[in-house]
Amino acid sequence: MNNTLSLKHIFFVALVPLIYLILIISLFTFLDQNKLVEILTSERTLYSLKLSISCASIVAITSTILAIPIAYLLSRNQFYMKNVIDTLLELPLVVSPAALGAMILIFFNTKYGKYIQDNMVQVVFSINGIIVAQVISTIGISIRLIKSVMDEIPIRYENIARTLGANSFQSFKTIMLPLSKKGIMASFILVWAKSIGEFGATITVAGTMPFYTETLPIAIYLRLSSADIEGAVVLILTIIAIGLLALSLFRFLSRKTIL
Amino acid sequence: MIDLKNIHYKANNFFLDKINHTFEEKKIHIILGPSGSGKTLLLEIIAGLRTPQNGQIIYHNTDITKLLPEKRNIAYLPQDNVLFPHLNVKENISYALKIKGINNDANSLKITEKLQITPILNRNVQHLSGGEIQRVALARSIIAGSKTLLLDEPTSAFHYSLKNEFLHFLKEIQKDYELTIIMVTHDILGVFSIADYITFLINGKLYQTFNNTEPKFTPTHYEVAKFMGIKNIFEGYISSHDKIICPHLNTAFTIHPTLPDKKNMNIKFGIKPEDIRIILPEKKKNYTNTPNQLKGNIKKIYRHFYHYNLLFVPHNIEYPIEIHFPITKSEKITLYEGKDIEIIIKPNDIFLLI
Repeated sequence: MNNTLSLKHIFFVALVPLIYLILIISLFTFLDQNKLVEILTSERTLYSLKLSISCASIVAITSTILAIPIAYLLSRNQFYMKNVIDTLLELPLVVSPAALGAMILIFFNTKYGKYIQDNMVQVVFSINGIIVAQVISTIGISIRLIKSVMDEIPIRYENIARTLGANSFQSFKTIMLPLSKKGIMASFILVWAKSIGEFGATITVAGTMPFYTETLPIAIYLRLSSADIEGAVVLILTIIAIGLLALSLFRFLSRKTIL
Repeated sequence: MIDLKNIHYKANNFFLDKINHTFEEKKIHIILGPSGSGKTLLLEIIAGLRTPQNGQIIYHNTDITKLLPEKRNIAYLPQDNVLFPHLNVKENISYALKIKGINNDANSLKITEKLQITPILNRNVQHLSGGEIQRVALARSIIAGSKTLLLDEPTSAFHYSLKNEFLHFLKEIQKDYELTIIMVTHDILGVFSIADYITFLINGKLYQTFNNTEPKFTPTHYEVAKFMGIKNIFEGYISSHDKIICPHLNTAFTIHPTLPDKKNMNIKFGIKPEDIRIILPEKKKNYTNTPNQLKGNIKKIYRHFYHYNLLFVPHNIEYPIEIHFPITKSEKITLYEGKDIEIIIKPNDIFLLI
């Protein structure tokens, strides 16, 4: 069978990427080269960049650490209400980010939420709020991705390890974890990339305080609100570059997820 | 010694029922049975990967029914995915040592030498042949200190000649390291050459155990005979202490196994195709007063590697009997479809089936 695509098929396949490309190229019509360096090196942009990267990193680490054991338990066990738990994990996919943010905000205005804020940790309108909003938005995806990788690994490997003297934790550590390593890394990067671009839940929970809770997407929104198109374009290009880099890494790693 | 006492395990619509068996130490036990008969399930129960709903497993006089797999010291080698794919050969065989925190073990060097693994120690496991995979898996289990090995269809992917080679190698290793091996397979070929005991597991039930030091294997159960591919299974009823009437063949058979003292009792019996002899014309006078002779003709002939497979139909009866006739004897008689022949079955060669 001939696997070469004809020109019209190539055009059809390339249609959507072409639209994205046109959108990216159109950004350059508003790109002011003089402003580029100025905005990129401004203290406010650098703060937003640093905040976005730091929060995304913390979120990716937290989500992955929480997702690995949950994904493993879901992958290896059958139990009552498993389907309900599975469905609930997809909540962030069906609820809009702003609604999810509003749900978090409402929770922290309940008796229990207030108790947490008063006695444990301030979440609303703080950097903690960014992390909480983004972890809640991404952990479901992380669990689903890691679980799908773990589902592909035959349980026999762990069974053999057990009969060779490894306890359940040792077999998880020496067999399951290394075999799903690339999948976990791919999930980490995807969560990180999604967190970098997360806007709806973040702005609802953490607000828009410059030099405090202003992440890159929020900075773009604020510049657009004040009609600073050139400034917004520079930040958009920055976020695109970071996102594409992360996604390329994700694609590279997920290509060889299973050994 | 492993003692299975009244093991019962139910999984969905399948269950292992009242499994009672003793696996003698330092012997090779083969469990034969068709696919889906519960062989893997039984190994997983012995290995501790599944807990039976009822019954006990006694290992070296200790009840291990609820003991964790890592505490049993019984190695399990499944049918596929035997080796850890992220570790090379050396890392695979030293897995158990690493778990125990042992870095160097002189004994493991001897074992790798003995199992001819030394040249492939640094090889990726994806690049090993079927035989090498099994040898590495064996070495890993022996190095782990397991004296009991559970093998699930280890030769399923082997070519016939490689299968025999591996089985004989396995026998040698078993003797050298005094291992107890419990191997399950659906493949009858080859296993008789290495087994000390052969037990049949069919539809979740254990049937007869055959001690391979006995000169001749004879099925005692209908299910076993069917699994062994014996087509000559007939129904009849007892007419006297040594006679069965078989209405299908319209014949009375004289048999030597002791019959129950119950006249007219319905009974199943079988005859192995290789135990049926064709009476050569020049020797006919030798059989004038011998029982169990049938006249008929050859309906079909199929040539096999070592024998002809004949479908013999007695005169006026449409009930075929399968006969294996050695190719080495084919010069003594010309056989063809439609030829009239006479056959004889020794009373000793008819076996009763439960």
